[in-house]
Amino acid sequence: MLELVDVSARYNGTQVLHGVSLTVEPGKITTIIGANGAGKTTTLKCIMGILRPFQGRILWHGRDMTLLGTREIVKSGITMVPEGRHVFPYMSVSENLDMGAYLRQDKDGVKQDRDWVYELFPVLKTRRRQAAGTLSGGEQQMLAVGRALMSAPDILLMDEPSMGLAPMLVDEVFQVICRIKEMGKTVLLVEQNAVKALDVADKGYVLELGTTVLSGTGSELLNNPDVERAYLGV
Amino acid sequence: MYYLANGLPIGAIYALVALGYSLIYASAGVLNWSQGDMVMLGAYIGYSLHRLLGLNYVLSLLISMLVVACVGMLVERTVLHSLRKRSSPSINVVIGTLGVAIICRNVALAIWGPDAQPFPSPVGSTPINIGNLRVLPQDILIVALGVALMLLLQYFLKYTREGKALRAVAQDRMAASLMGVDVGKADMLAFAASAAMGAAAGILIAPLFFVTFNMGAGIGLKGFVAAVVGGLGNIPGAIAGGFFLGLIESLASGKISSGYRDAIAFSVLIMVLWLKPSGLFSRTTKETV
Ligand SMILES: Nc1ncnc2c1ncn2[C@@H]1O[C@H](COP(=O)(O)OP(=O)(O)OP(=O)(O)O)[C@@H](O)[C@H]1O
Ligand SMILES: [Mg+2]
Repeated sequence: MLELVDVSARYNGTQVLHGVSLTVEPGKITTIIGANGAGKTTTLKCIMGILRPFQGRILWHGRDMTLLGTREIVKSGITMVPEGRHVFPYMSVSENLDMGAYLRQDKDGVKQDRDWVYELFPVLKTRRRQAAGTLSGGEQQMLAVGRALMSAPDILLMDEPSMGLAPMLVDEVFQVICRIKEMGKTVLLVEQNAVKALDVADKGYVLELGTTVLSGTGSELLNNPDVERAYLGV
Repeated sequence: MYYLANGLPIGAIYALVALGYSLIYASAGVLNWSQGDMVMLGAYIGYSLHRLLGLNYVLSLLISMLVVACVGMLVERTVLHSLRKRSSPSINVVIGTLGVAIICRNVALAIWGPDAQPFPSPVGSTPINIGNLRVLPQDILIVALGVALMLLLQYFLKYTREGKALRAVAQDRMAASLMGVDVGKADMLAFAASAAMGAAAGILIAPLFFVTFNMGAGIGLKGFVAAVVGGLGNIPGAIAGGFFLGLIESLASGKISSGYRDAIAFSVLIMVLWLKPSGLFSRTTKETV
């Protein structure tokens, strides 16, 4: 279980998070929705140790992770698919996947996971020698997800994985998220596409101006009139 | 053919120095003005080991590379790392490396004195005939060892775990740290490898000139130019840029006038940058490390 307790953070003196609290249950999909600039990405950055909160605590299986570096956090089984993919453009698809497994020592496990990633995204297998920067946007997103899975994480943080993709590909991304859950992994999903996110999510949080203002199961939030008005574009 | 043979050794030297600039620029995103003085330190340490202690030339080269690599890591820790931690703008880091350059010169002056030190070639100075070309054995040594080191660096970057991590940092720093790469350690590695390449250039070129405390200024500048001509941050480009500059210089001094060698060579380079602002050897996909 991943738990954020009253997490506050700032960039160069400008406070952006004002006490974010949320719980991510193991084996479930949890989503954070909220307007542009609400602090969703910042919340994920705090979990990954990219940004250090000045207040509050981040607990992972009861262990305090708040002051750990990114490397230790990745080692403990947390990984993130960053907003905007961030694949290594001049490395081949297969080298990108290797980088995902950078901290792993178990060669056999890595090989197994690579086969699994290729099965999940057959297109990556056919393009495994191609430079990642020359892939289409959708393929790069698949690669970013595949690369994150190569670290054999217990929990996958995903920052707007459907951003900029054609509708058909968006559906595919959400199918993949469901399959990752079926593999027994935990997902924390940040999405602009609130309808689709709440649809697949077991639990959702609404973030507004750096605080969690609402939470509930996916369907509760989908049917909440306030959420509907603000985020579902009705 | 003559100009080719003449330009290759100095080109290899420029290429080694240029690699240092590009490697650090690609991974850490800063210009390291102490690169030329790593060349000087390499030459002096090689001089002390080989000439004063009588150590074998190649062994002296390797030890000197190692020592100067440590200096490079020290520069990374004291300048890049500590200034970055205070989130200084990168111009401060550049000034910091300039400071290191001046400190190095001062320290070298204090240790080895103001006089230029001769460094006879370990392979003698009798030219050998290859076909109708007369070449110095040291020239052959420079090209052979220089190219071997370049290939070694390429192998390191392409096939080793730490080398791949360094490339990852160069391509996307944030993503690399999300993979669990220690980006600080990657910066140290880039500085170490760059300094070692510079040091090798220093010992290799020493037998062609004298060793002096300010020899780093000229070579450092030429190496920087080679790196820019090849596309700053581009590793194959740095190598190509180094050889290109060497050949242009050789042609300029041979065909036109040796007195105007630098003026002519640099005029050509300015024209190259007019025609191809991103560097002569940058590919359309902007290949870096
Ligand atoms: N590196 C940064 N430096 C300074 N301010 C930042 C930085 N990154 C984000 N911010 C600010 O923090 C606030 C929250 O940003 P954040 O990226 O977390 O929002 P978000 O909810 O992910 O938005 P979006 O849906 O647009 O991705 C914004 O006001 C943004 O301007
Ligand atoms: Mg965001």
